[in-house]
Amino acid sequence: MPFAIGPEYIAVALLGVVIGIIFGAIPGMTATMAVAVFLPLTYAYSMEMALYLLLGLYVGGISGGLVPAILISIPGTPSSVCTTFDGHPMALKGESERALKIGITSSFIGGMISLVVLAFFTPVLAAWAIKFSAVEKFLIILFALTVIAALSRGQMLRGIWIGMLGVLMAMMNQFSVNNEYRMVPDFLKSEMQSGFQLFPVLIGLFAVSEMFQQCETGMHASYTKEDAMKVENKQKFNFFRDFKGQWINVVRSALLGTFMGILPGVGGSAASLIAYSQAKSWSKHPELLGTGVPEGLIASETSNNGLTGGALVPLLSLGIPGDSTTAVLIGAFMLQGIQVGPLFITNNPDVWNTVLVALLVCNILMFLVMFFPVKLLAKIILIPQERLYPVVLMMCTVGAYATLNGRMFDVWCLLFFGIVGLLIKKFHFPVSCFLIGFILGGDLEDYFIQVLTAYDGSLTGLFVRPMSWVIWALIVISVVYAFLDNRKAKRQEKEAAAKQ
Amino acid sequence: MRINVVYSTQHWIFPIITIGVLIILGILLIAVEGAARVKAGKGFFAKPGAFFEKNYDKVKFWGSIVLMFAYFFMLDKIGFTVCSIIFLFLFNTLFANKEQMGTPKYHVVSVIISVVACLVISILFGTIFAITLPSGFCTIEIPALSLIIY
Amino acid sequence: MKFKKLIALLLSASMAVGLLAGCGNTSSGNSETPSGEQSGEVNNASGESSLKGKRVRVVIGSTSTGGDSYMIADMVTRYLGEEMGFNGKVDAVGNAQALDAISKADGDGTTIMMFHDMAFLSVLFGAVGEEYALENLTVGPRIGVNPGGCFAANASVPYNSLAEAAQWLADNPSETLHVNIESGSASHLCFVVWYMWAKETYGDDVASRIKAIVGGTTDEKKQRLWDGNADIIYADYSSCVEFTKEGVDAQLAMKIFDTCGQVADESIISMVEDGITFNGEPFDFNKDFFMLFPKDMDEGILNEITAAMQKVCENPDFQAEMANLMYAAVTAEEADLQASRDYINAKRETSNAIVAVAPGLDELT
Repeated sequence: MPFAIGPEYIAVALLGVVIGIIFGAIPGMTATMAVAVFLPLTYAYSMEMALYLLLGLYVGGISGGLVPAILISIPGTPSSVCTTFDGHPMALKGESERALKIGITSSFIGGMISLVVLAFFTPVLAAWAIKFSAVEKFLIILFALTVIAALSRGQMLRGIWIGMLGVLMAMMNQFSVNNEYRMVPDFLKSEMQSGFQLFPVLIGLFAVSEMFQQCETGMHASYTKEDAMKVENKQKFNFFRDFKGQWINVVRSALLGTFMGILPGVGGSAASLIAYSQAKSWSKHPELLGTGVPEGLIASETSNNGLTGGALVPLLSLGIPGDSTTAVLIGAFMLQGIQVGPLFITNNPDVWNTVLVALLVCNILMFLVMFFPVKLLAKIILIPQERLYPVVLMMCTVGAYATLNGRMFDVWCLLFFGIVGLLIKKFHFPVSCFLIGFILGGDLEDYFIQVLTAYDGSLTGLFVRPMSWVIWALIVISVVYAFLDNRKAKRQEKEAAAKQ
Repeated sequence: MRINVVYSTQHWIFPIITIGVLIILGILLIAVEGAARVKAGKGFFAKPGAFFEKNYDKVKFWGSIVLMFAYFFMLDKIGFTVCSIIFLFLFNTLFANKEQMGTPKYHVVSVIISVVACLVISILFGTIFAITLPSGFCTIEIPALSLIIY
Repeated sequence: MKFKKLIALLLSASMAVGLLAGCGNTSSGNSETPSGEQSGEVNNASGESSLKGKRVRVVIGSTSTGGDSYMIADMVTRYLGEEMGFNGKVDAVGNAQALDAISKADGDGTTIMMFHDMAFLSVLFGAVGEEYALENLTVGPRIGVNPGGCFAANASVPYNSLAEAAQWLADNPSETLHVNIESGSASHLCFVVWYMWAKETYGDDVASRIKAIVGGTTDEKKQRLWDGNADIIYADYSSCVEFTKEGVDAQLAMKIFDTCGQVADESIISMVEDGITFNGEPFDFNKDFFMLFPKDMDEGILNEITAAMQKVCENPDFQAEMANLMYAAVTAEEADLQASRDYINAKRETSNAIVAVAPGLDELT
């Protein structure tokens, strides 16, 4: 089987991975943006060279997001939202190095598992994925939303309420089917045709509101010089110990991520959300998730890297991108005069093999590039807040401005959602639930309307397909589980209160 | 159950459902939490606590909001690099505590951080990666080298 | 030991960045060199170009960087930039935002909007406000054509064209056809023209069994075709042609018919050849790409841009690159400013006439 490999390719892949990681690690800059920026560069390259570069950017971009998620609790990319839940608490306990290493290793394993799936099961899976209609996709989004219930342990009603508010906010735009605006003030119509963009919302809610809160309490550094010593001496990363008993979690999360990637039209962030809520549901000690245990971190990171291989499945076998980044990759193939479609693998075996090898190389490079400088990266957490926040804010501004290729509106959204995030916290609602509602709201509506249209306005459409029953069962299990867990949490709270 | 899908008004179907759920859940939320408070021997409605922390840092909190507003406002008037350098320095100054405020070293470091960070980001993303950044009157263009620093 | 490794890695990373900077330069250098010595001459010739050395922002009405709008705008920007010596950058900001940006831009040519018929159709269908009507902007030269708008159905269906599909409906009174289109776009127009033609030719009963499904990207439409929710979809020739080839799985295989323009592929019937008419006239509707400028655009600069565009249109490299992506370049005469304006205005009139008599989508869905 011929494929292209050589030092020049590996050099280009390394370049892609490093730049990708930079894009991923800067809040608001994403893998999609990295690939889009470098797409024009590939005019001058051969197809193989272009693949190494772009796949490097893709893998790097998805992986880089874990660094700020763990260290400063700002997800570098939307798919690393769940990484903050357990990664940052670990870092606060002084285990930032360990958390980073676990995250990176998980990313690598996730990427490899999805690569295996891509290499051996592509045609089968693609044929299977297109059997998923709007009904199943609606239910999968709904399933992803159940993570809200799992997250808002002890205050489920509040979590769901604020999540629904997020869903509502996601609908402040021009509805794409009939081009009608809803809930948009007149003077913002041209800015809000596609509504609020995800990245400014994400950054506003997580980074800016946090900055305001820190300002309120006077910006006292979370770490002092003495703490620096502690960081050095905390629990070290040990592959066998940290991953012991986690293999089911790893495989489940990676496959969930891969599967979400395979399904076209189900966004990448749904992958880590579902993986996280499943990790919690199946965990032996669900109450610990969210307090800084490796389990949640592993689930989130394996699944979002599992996405990479998965998203390539429909792209290479159907010509339909599995996520927003692979949508940009189509352009790269087109520029090289290669049509991705049902005959791509049969007609271009060399390119296909190169994709697989390149993905393998990029995953390995990603691991090496990220794993060894971890000690240095982990020191970011020691940067005093008064120094860190201004720089983060500046980077976020760049990211927001670049979200839709240069709009001040998205920059203003940072401030707006910073204040919204602050208000949400002040009224004791979980911010992450709002964000998850916002992320999934748009898709939820699209598929809901599609179901209604397909079944002539009847909701029975949601129950007639056998495949949908499976998803319904999963949803019900998740909700019931979360409900029981919620009651348990409340009971524990009371007991704790009674003891005092 | 049937929902009549009319093309020209279908953009309201889901928002109305969502608003409905929000209202129902909202009432439920108030009722459940209120009942819990009554059970605990308190009034149905919680006394609104103080919005801000006790002795919250007024200068830093309001200052950061105002400064951020000014930063965004000036971005596309001044141009990204220069504007960011100025405001990064201002943010650094705003966030300084009393002790730091008095030490010249702190401010020197502020200047260095502001200039270096902004230049690195601006050159890396704006110039090398050719991402469009806000431009204003301080944006430098050198056409001969097709170089631009926003 | 570990520290050494770290330094080595950091060094290699920084080297990579250096390499990248190099790549960036060489690639921009490369894009100028394909035409070799010629480009040198051109640069000299356009020494007095008002945009020389300037940074030009090209906004397009799509948010995707993989679609035809981006591809064409990017190609035109590269060639035009070479011709006029400016430094162009395409920003995919979306229709409403692009119209907003161009109507507020300075008339010095440093902001250009490149887009297709959607620019005036969206005003016509009310998706954006009247303030963005062509009257309030300056129409620039045409830049290219994507002739590939077409209808596609599963390969196993008994009909081979829109006309046959209508005939098939007439023959099978219990059948309905669901056609997936997008509102306020070329697909909307082509669909209603066919609908009205079928109504005229076969009567109300057949027409009442033609239903529109509105919305979705090309990918979503294809999936609807595959999962049986749509019978016919409007899509782009280039995005479907792979599925018409031999060896494609039966569930995925498609047939393409009734292209709205004229594609290079002779075997595919166009709407004109299919005999679909509007007001008795054969109907075709290419996706025409053109430039838009603010209302108070500087005449001199606009003429320079047009002249440069005409030159680009004649460049064989440009034509080849367009053809490679299944788009067509326009001729220098067609890119002439007045000719372009007449053409776009005439097209808008036709669209106006269709929308005026066509039934609304409330009725068609």
